[in-house]
Amino acid sequence: MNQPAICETCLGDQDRLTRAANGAQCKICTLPFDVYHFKSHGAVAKTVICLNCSKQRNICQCCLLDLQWHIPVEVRDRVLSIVQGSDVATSEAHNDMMKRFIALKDGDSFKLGGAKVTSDAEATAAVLSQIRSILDNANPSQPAKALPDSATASSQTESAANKANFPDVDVSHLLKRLPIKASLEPAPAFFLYNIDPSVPEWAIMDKVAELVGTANWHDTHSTAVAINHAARCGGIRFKSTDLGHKFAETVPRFTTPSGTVKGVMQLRNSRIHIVAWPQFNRAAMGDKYAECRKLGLCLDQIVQKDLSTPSKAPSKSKKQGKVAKQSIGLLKNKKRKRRVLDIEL
Amino acid sequence: MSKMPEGNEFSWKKRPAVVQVKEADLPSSIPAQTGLTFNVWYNRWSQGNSGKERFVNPYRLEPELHEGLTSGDKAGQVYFCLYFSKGMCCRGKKCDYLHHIPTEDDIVRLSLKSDVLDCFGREKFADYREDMGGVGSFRKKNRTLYIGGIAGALNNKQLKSSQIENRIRFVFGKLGAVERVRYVEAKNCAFVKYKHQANAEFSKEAMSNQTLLINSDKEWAERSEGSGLLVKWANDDPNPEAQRREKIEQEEESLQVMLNLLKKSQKVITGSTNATAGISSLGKKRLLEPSEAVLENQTSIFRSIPVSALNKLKKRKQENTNTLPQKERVQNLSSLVDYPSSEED
Repeated sequence: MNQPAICETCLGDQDRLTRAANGAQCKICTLPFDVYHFKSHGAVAKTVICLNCSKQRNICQCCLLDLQWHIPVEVRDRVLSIVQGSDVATSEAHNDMMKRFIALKDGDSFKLGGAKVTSDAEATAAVLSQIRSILDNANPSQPAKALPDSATASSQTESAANKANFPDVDVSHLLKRLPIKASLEPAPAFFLYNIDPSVPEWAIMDKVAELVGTANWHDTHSTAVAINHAARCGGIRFKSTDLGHKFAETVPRFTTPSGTVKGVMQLRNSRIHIVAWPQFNRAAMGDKYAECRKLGLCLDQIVQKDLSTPSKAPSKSKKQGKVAKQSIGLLKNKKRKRRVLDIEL
Repeated sequence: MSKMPEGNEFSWKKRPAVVQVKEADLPSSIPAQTGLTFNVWYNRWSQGNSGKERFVNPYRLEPELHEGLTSGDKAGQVYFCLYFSKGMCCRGKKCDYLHHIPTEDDIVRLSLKSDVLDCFGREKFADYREDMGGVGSFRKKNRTLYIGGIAGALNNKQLKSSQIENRIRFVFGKLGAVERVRYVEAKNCAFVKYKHQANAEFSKEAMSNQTLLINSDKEWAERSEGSGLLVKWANDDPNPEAQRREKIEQEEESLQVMLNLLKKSQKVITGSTNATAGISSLGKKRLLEPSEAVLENQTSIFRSIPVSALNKLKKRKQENTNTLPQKERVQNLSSLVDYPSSEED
C-alpha cells in the first residue's frame, strides 16, 4: 500500500487518481516512479517526484512544499535554523549517481534537513511552542524594527569602509550636472537622493503613485524612473507637467539650514530627499561603480549638512507632522552615532 | 483617468486581445536549410554545419498595443501565452492563455498553483541548465535575470553606458515591477531584478533574441543581421553588500513565516475538536494577532503579496474544507491522503 503524499491544497476534494506505473522520472532522484494524475481546480495535476524523495524531505509530491507547514523547503530550513540555533539545511546532490544513492535510503527512517522535525508531530509542536516564545520575547513590532537597525548598522560599516576606498575618484563633473543646489519646485522631473540600497524601485514608484493619486504617472516614451542604487540616488519623470506640479505640492517638505525647501519621502528605513531636476539625465548619476559609490558619499554629506543644525528645526511636513519630526530626530541621533563611529575607526 | 490611486486600472481589461501576427504571415516552423536531412524529432537540420544559432526575433511584444482579454480570461486560465510574450500569437482573443503582463492578482493566483510550474505552465527542473538558460529551477526563487549579448543586440553600435542602461531599463521596465537594474560596463552585461518571479519568467521569454535598437537608429533596418539579446537566469550576487541585503530580506521573510505558522496552527486547533492533547495545551495561550491595518503592510513568503490577499484566499479555502464530512477532514489533517480506490485502478 503506497499512497501518494499529496497535500490538501493540491488535491482539493478530489478522491479519484489515475496511476501510471513507472510513468516518469523523479525530478529529484531521476529514478522512475509511479505517477498519479488527478483533476483539481479545473486542471490536470500530476506528481513530479517519487514517494521516497517526498518522504525524505517531507514534501508534497505535487507542489514540493512542506507537508506540515505548506512552505518551501528552503524557508522551512531557515525557520528551523533560527529556532534551533544550528544550521539546518536540506543538502541536495548534484551528480546523478549521488542523487540515486541518496534515493536508495528508506524515506521512513532517513530524513533530510528540516524534515526530521516536520515529519514528527511532537517535534513540530515543540518547535511551534519555541517559535511562540521567540516571538513573544521579541516585542510584537520586532520584525519591523529589527530591520532598520541592522540596515543602518550595515550602512555604517559600509560608509566607514568606503570613505577610505575612493579618495582619488573625481565626481565633480557629475556633481556639476546634478541639481544639488536646487529646491523643491514644480517640474516635470525630480531628483531623489539618500535612497537606501535596500529600497526597490517599485516601492518608490508605488509611493509616488500614492502621492499623486494615479498609477500611470510616469512617462511612457522614455525611461521614467532610473534609480542608481550604488550612488543612492535616482530620478523620476512625470508624464505631464500637471502631475509634476501635483507631486511637488503633495510631497512633505522641510527647510534646510541654508534656507532651501526640499521634499522628503519616508520609505521603509530611508528618508528620500527630493528636489526638482528638469534636465533629468541618467548619465549624470555615474557609470562606473567606484564613481557611483563616491557620488553616493558626496550626496550623503549634503544630506548631513541639510539635517545638521539642530537650532533650526525642520518645518512641519503636511501629512505626518509629529511623526515626521520624531523620525527626523531619530535619524539625527543615528547620524551622530555614525560620526562618532567614524572617528573611532 | 486619475480616479484610482491603486494600480488596479488596466486598460486591457476593456478590450479583446489583438492578433499579433496573422497565421498566414507566420514564418515556416522548419528552419532554413543548413544540412542534408531534416530531423523531425529535434526540428533541426542534420549532416552539415549547423549554421548560425543566434537570431533576432522579427516580432516583439508591445504591451500597450497587444494586451487584451482572451477566452482564457473567461475560463479562469492562470497561465500566460508563450507566443504572446514573444509577440507572435496568431490567435488573439481566441487564445486559451492569458494575453497580458503578469499583474499582482495573477501572481496571487499563480502562487496557489504549484511552485513547480512557471508562469507559462511549463515544468521547472531541479537544477539550472549549464548555461543558466531555459525554464529554471524549482529549488530557488530567482527574480534576477542576466542580460548578455548586448553588443550583438545593438549590431555593434557604439553607445554610452548610460544610454544602454536606459534602453534596458525601458524595455524591461514595461514587463513588470522592477526592483533594481545594474549595467556592468566592464563586462557589457546587465542584471535586472524584478519584484516577482513570474515577471522575471515572463520577460525572460519576451526579451530573449530581441534587438535593443530603436526606430530612430540608422541600423534599425538591418536589425535582423545582429544577434538578439541573451537573457538567462542570474547566479547569486557575489557582492558582500548585496548578500547582506539578501540575508536581511530572508530573515524578515522567515519571521513572517513564523508568525503565519503560529496563526495557522491556532486555526487548526480552533477548527477541529480532534486535535491531540499536546497541541491543544499549546492552543490555550493566546497569540498577539496583528490588526487588519498591520496585516495590510505585511508581506508573505510569496514575495510582497499582501497577506490580506492571501488570507482572503485562505479563508475561501477553509470554507470549502469545512463542508467536508468530519471523517475526511481528519484524514486531511494527517496529510498523507487516504486513497480509497483499489491498487489496480
